[in-house]
Amino acid sequence: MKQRWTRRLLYSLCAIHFSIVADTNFGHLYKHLPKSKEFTYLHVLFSKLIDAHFLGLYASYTGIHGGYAFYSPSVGNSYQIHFHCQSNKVNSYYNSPGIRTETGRIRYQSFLDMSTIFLEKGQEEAKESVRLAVQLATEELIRQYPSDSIVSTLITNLTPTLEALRSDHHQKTVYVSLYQYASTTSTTHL
Amino acid sequence: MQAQPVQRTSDGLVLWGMYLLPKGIGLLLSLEMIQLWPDLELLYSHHLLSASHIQQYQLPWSMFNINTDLIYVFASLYILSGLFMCFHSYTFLPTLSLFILHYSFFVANSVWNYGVDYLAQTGLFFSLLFGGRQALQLKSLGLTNLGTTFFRLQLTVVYFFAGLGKAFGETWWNGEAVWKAIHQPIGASYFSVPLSAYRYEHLWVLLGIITILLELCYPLVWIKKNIRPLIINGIILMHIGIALSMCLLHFALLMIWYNLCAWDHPLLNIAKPNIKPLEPSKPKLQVPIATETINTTKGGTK
Repeated sequence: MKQRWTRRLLYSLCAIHFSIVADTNFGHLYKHLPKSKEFTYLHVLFSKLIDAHFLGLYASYTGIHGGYAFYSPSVGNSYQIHFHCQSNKVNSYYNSPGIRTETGRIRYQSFLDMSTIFLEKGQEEAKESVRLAVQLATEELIRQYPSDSIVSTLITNLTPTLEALRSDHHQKTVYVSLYQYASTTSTTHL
Repeated sequence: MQAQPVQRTSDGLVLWGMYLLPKGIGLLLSLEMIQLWPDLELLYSHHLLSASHIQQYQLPWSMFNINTDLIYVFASLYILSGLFMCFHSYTFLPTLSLFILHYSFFVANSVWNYGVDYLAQTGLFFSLLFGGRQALQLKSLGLTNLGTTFFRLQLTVVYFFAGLGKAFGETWWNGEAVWKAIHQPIGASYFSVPLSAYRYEHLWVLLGIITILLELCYPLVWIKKNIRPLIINGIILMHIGIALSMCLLHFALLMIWYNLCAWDHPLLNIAKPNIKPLEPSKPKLQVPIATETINTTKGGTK
């Protein structure tokens, strides 16, 4: 008896689990799938279920709410902040706000991936949020390395595509400045 | 490569992979936290992000906020739980502890996380229900391989959806995605590919297509056991490539470990001699079988 109920419970859990996984991932793929009415209805139904407190809680605690769309459908740009510190006529450069470990740098860079909004139109609130993060990182660096001034630049690097290199093999990686912040007074929006 | 049953108890068989799963996860997560230790205060204080900024990334159902003065206490517990999972045969409570702590550090607030943290959380969930001694409890209920089956199913959907997403992107078919990924490493990569390598275009196209096919064809390991070694070893090689070119070592090691445990890969045999048995084995009384009539005469035969 106990065995039968345990089996039923585990199979039910399994069914709910993989339904959430499927819906989360189809949600990510939705933009790239043929738009059929049936799929739209199904997705809306599942979204409502996942928004329910219990299922949302379950999905986040099991780590399945994020989906598995790693580097798909294409690879995004990477973003960094470069800090140019000037003190007593000595220039020094940093590429992270005092983060010392490799895993810390990976996590910070992963956070900066949200800077992709600078390549799109609108979303002023989100852009302001990233600008604030750059400013706070600059202030943190000043706290660690007191300087006369620090100029921070949020950049992305555009590697030439294979197609571009085929047509002109002299092409180089281009660094595009997205936002610049000076710790003194002037702030430049690019 | 066939599923390798291992004699763990006197009355039956338990698959080796699910027993080992929590041990590897515990070790990898504790090593990650040890590495992150010098940056913990900076990342989890309000020095880099404002409180309102962090609040934006907080999931509504997180149990407690990790941004407290007790950050090093939580981190120490995290490391100890992981090490306990790895080096002790009793894993349920340490796994539960790491499950809650990992969620609080890296999942409840998505500021400092990336894909690997969700996968680790899923691995901890499976370890909690089906890993270690839980495998034996399920066996006593007649559900011997249930955990292994669910975990295999989980890995299958992970790779299948990852492959499906890539298949919709044109750049994965023409080599541009692989080219871009290796030139934009997330960490400091172990080697760099010069731009002049664009000449080997067929190589980048091939790598992109192989990646899609390996991930999309992952469900085939259930159907055709003779192609299982090809796909699983291919996936392991793909993760080694990711570790070397993109510096995602933690992610690569975790996924390799999942694949080894889920499919009871022969490489797991390396770990066998170092793992204690699940149940303490009592010495059995050895009674020699008599092969001839024992002479009970006092003093024996003369």
